[in-house]
Amino acid sequence: MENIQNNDNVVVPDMEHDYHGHPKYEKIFISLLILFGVSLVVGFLFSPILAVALIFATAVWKTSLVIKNFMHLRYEPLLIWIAIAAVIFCLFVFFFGIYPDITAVQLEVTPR
Amino acid sequence: MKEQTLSVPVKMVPQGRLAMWILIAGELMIFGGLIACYLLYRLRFPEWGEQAAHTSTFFGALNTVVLLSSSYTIVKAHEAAIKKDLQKITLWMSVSILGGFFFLINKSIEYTTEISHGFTFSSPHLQESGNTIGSLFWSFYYTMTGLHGVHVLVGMIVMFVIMLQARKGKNLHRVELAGMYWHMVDLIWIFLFPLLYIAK
Repeated sequence: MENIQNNDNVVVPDMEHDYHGHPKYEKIFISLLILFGVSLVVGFLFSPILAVALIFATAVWKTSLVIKNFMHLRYEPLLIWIAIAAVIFCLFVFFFGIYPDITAVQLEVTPR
Repeated sequence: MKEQTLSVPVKMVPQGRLAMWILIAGELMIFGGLIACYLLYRLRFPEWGEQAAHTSTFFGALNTVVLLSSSYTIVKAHEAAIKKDLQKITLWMSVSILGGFFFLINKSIEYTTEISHGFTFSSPHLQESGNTIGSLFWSFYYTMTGLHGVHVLVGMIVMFVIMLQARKGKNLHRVELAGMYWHMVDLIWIFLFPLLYIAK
């Protein structure tokens, strides 16, 4: 990891040396297309619940491929990982926090 | 007077990248909150599946391929920026912008079809027939896809501006930052596609 500091004390990546490494993008792209194909096929093959579970599993897999390789999260320091993990944690808290309000309470949705 | 300078260690996240990660974290909260609410309502009202059956899986799938491909092309632009190959930066960024343009055209065709069938933000015909829950699905659908579409448009504008600078050899490190934003737009669609187009 090579950075340079300009006159304004702004750290910018040194384009000669690059800030991080580069995975094989072609391989990642083909993997993404294969996973996309799988998510389409399972929708027609399995029971709806299993299909939805598998589709989401492939979506999470695709997300991890993009975020780690295309966005280069794998080369970032631990602090960035913690920041992203904190967002996911907050979303889980939000989801399970309002879960009873939406699923367990009788909702009266009436037209105006 | 001695000039004060900020002591910066060599191993440090560039400020542009750090700012992009903060922006991305904020965007993930916005879309994550929407997706979480959608999921909860979908669990609460299984009849939303009937409404989701009216969305076009073909256009959704086509747009997924378009966004995945444009994610690949923008990362190739970043690779070209490292090599300072200005021609290739312009080429790959143009292809990425075209991908965004193609996505929006597909989306507008889809919207036109859905609106012509009466599925609008409030879907009055569903409300009149007492299917208020059904109309709620379309409110979520237009909110999530509309907000995502705005992000696609913003991404295209950002890429265009950075491409104009990069073709002159200026601010090459910004190519990667534009790419990070574009990948985030792709990530959101990766989740919207199964939620709105496959889970029927």
